[in-house]
Amino acid sequence: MCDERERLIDYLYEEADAAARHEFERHLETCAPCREEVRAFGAVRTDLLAWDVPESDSVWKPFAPPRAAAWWRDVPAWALAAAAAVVFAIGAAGGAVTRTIADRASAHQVASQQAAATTAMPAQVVPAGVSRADLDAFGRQLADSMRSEMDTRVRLVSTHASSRAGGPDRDVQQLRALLQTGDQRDRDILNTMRLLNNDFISSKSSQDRTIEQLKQRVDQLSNAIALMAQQQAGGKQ
Amino acid sequence: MTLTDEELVARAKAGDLDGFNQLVSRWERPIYALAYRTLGREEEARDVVQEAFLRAYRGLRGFKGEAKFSSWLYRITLNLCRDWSRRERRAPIVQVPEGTDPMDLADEHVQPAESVEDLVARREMSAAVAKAMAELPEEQRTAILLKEYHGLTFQEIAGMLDCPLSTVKTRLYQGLSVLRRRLERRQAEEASLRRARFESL
Repeated sequence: MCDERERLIDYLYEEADAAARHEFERHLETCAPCREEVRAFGAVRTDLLAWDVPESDSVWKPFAPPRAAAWWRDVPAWALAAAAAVVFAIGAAGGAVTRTIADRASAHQVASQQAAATTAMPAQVVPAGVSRADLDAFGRQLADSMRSEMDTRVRLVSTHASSRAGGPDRDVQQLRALLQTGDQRDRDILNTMRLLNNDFISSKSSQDRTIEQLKQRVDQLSNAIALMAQQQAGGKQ
Repeated sequence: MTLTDEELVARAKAGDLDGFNQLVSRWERPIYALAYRTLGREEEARDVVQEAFLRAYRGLRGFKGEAKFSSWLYRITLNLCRDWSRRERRAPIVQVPEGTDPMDLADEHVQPAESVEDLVARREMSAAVAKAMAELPEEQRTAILLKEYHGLTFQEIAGMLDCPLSTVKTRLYQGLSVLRRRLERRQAEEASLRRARFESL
């Protein structure tokens, strides 16, 4: 048995350099067992090629790239909350203005009817100390005062409402522009929110005061009418 | 432009997931072949492939590039196969049906130059090789697998198996010697069978 195993393997797998290969080929010329082994191993290597591997679908689920974050994820939570509050406030302000105008128009109509009723009252009985002329003058003064004040208030509210027309769009555009800026945008948004909020609160308070004043005037007018009715009833008696 | 393994590894290390996907796409089939030929079981081979790539991905930062990426991957795969064999205490098997029906094979795709008889002979030879390889000692089988089917150099195999160069050559020599005896015996048995059939006619 020839002891050239390593050199034979080097030669078989062609990992011997040229000199070693040439030297082993010279050895093969004189060594029949090695020649036979090289032939037999070559046949085995050919047989090994027959070993198939069955087809198989890929078992690997490719890594997916990270999903792009939605733009609004960059906006701080407080800014989102504030933006939602502003949208709500704009809607509420619009509703309040509409309601106020409607209420005042209704009050104006009631006041006109009451004033008309007052002027239409018969001047037959005048209690001592209060003349019919005094009552008429008071009624007219009261009605004029209310009408004047209501006109002023309605004009103010209308002006405010018209100034707000297109306001939401402008506000949204402003917000969008701010959202696209850098760190400063957060502070700008906050300031804008505060201003809008203050504006709304101020407007709402003013409207509430006006409504309260109108209610008081209506009450006064009602009392005056009731007083006049009592005096008339007393005069009849 | 086709990127090298090293370039894809660098990209994957930098967080480019597609770089790693490309490495998987490039090496999945060879890794599956190594696992299948080592274990002899398709399902287990698929599990090993998946685990091998997951381990490779997790260990990518620790891969310094001292060896080729493929060698590193082969090593991970062989370790997983060894772990599986030890855990299951099972030797490789040969998943080849008993007897191959030529009629079934005739329905399959046959290469234009290959007759049904040739296909039958090739299937039988494949089964015979698988059986002979499964009976080899693990060290010899692994050396032959890496050399014959994956074309690694002696040096690469030695590095992967942590053994001297001469040991790799010895294992190859011994493995080929065993295979030679078994395959020659099979051929002798087949020749005997053919002769018996011929004489019975």
